[in-house]
Amino acid sequence: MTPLPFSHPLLLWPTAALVLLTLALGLRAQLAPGLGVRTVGQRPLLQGLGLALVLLGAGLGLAEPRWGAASAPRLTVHVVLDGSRSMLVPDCAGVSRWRAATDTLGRLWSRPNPEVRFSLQLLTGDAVPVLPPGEDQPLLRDTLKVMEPGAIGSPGSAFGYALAQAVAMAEPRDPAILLLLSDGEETVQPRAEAAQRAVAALRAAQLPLYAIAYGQPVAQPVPAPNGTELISTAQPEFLEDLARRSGGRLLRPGEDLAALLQSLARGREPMPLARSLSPAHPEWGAWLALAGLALWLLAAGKPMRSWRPVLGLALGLGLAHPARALPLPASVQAWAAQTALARGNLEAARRWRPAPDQPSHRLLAAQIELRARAFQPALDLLAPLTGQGAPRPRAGERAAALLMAARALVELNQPEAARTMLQRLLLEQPGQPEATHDLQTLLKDPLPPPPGPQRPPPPRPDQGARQDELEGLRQHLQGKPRPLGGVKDL
Amino acid sequence: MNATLRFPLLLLLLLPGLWFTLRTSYRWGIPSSRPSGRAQRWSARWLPAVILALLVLAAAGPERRIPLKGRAPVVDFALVLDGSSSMKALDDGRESRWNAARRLILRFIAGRPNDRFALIQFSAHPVTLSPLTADHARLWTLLDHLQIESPDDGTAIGSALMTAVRRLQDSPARSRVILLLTDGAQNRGRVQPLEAAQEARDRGIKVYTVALGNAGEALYPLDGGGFAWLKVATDPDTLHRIAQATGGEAFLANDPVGLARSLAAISRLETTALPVDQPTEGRPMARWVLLAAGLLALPLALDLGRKRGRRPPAWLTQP
Repeated sequence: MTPLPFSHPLLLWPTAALVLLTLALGLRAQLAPGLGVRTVGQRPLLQGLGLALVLLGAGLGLAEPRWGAASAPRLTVHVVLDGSRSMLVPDCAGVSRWRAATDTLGRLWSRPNPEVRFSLQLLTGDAVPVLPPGEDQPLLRDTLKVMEPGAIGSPGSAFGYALAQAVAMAEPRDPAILLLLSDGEETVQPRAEAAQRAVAALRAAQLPLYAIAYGQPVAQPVPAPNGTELISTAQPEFLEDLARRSGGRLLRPGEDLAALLQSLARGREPMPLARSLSPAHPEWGAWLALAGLALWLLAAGKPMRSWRPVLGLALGLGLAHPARALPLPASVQAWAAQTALARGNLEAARRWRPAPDQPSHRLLAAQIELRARAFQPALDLLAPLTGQGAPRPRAGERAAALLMAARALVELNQPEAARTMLQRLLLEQPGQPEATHDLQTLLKDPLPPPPGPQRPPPPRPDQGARQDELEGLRQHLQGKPRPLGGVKDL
Repeated sequence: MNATLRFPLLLLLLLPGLWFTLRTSYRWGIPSSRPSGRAQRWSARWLPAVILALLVLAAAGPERRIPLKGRAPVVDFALVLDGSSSMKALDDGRESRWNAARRLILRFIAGRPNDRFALIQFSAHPVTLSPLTADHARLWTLLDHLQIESPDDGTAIGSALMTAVRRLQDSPARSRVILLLTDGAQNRGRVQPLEAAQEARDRGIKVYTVALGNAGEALYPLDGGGFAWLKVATDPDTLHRIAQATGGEAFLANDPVGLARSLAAISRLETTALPVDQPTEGRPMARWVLLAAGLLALPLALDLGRKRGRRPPAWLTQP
């Protein structure tokens, strides 16, 4: 991770050199300007300063400074779960390391994780891919139930090899992290060698590793079915070292994992630049360069002396607040917002959102909020158009407002209120096709109860299917090749 | 590609800026009373104007909007593929049902770049190989390496369908579709196919079924080498009822050509004329404009080195 928030920080060096050279040339010329230079009104020092600003702005813009929240939050979490037999040691507050790790994941996957996709891999003597990235959290929870440590993959834990394999499965420029849940006990390679290999792969892919360590750093017997005696010692400092060197960190026990993932997905936590969602702002460099060019023009001769204050003011206004601060009529703002919305540029649409003084502007503002999935603000905006009081808005605006309010209410999980909105629309404007369609499709009516005495419901088909799927998953995972190798489990 | 400007009103600076720039009569080096050359006059007049135009364009924040795949899916498909050993049969004598199905599914996916797919393989038990994903490249790799794994052979159509329903039930897509490809009749599993179809119907999920293979005997490769003619029990009637119950269609594919026709028909049926708001993300395009402006500003910067006057002769400065 680079300490400077630039996409191409190396460009800052030549920029600095050119800026210094330009300033030096300007100063040198200022100390002994030619006769003609003074005659035509050129001022070399100011010219040098202006051109230095132009070059600085161009260089900064080319380096692309990055900041701000992600406009389209998303994150792929490649979960790597240690599946070696040492995870069976019961030294995590009375439960096994495996149980503690799967409980952590179970808790995470029982909560909504919007915009976050998870893949699942097992870390053994190599990496065993279990599920590709997806948002299907029930499937992930089910998969955890059929896995057991030591039963799948090669024996032992090879962090160097397995993490390199896990990294290879991540998309190159996708916003992603690796989440490792393990006891940190390397059994195949020397630890330094394994760490070197894993960190090299992680750094090359710019994939930060976040790790959670399980187990105590004291020797513990590993429960073994065939009576062989094995000893395991958890190595949390090894995981911490891996995480720190890759740009991630070791997570504390009890840390809110879901909140951390949301922060990463929304760009609130730093990510490596190649995977960062923070938007680049090269236009800031251009604004600086424009100011520099204005300074250079002012010092390049004596043109338009009487116009200079006015033009300077206009330029200053434009640079200080790019157009948003200009007192534009609401209709122009609405046009700009509508255009941005039509192009799918939600960020710009929100920036240009007109004040909701007129019904059409209120509808537009609500549409923008809906698109941004801000359902409650959209409802608040629509309230004057959807209420029962007088005066009523025009029929077209009323219909659009009621439809949008219904959609927002469905998203807010208030189907009854949404139904009321649509029914109100159908009462006021019978035959509204969109309202009829929405009533039929958006709100799924429950089937009427069967006549006669109520009997206990039979077992649902999805329970049987779930058992069948778990069995299939178990067979599928055990069918993975189990090559010889490793040290500890042999 | 959809190009747009972050701050389009900044382009208004162009007019007063150009006016001001063109009114500035810049002179290269140390101006003298001799008339300068045509190239010098032309460049002194137009170079600052071009730099200004480029900088104003860069300041307006040109960017291209890239649609984000899979964020607003129109159709979510669950592909349910029979992986029982009977899929090794060669209907046309050249290609097994299994290979033909995989090949044609790959083509089907390639034809629908904006949709998401889940992949479920089943024999005696269903297995979700991929949850819903818009990452088609990963799906292609998965399908390409997929093999018939039948440690426990059989055909559990009902459980597979129900698994597909579970994969799709939380999907926000406008249309949710299960595509079931099988060559057998239900003989395993805890769920009956029509029960699963009912669940799909209740959740608004459509099922298209494709019955693979001939009704009679087919050529099977034997483990030790060679081939044998064997007959597999099929149940196109149940597949037809599943499709009918959910508002889908049932197809019969006697050979790979028939399967290709069926998949093409399904692809045609699952189209939408309604517009979709695909979320997009902006990628700035100002770098080339800034690079050009910076390079054009360099001669102006270097020209400062020519502004220094000559040292006056000694006889002039000495008393």
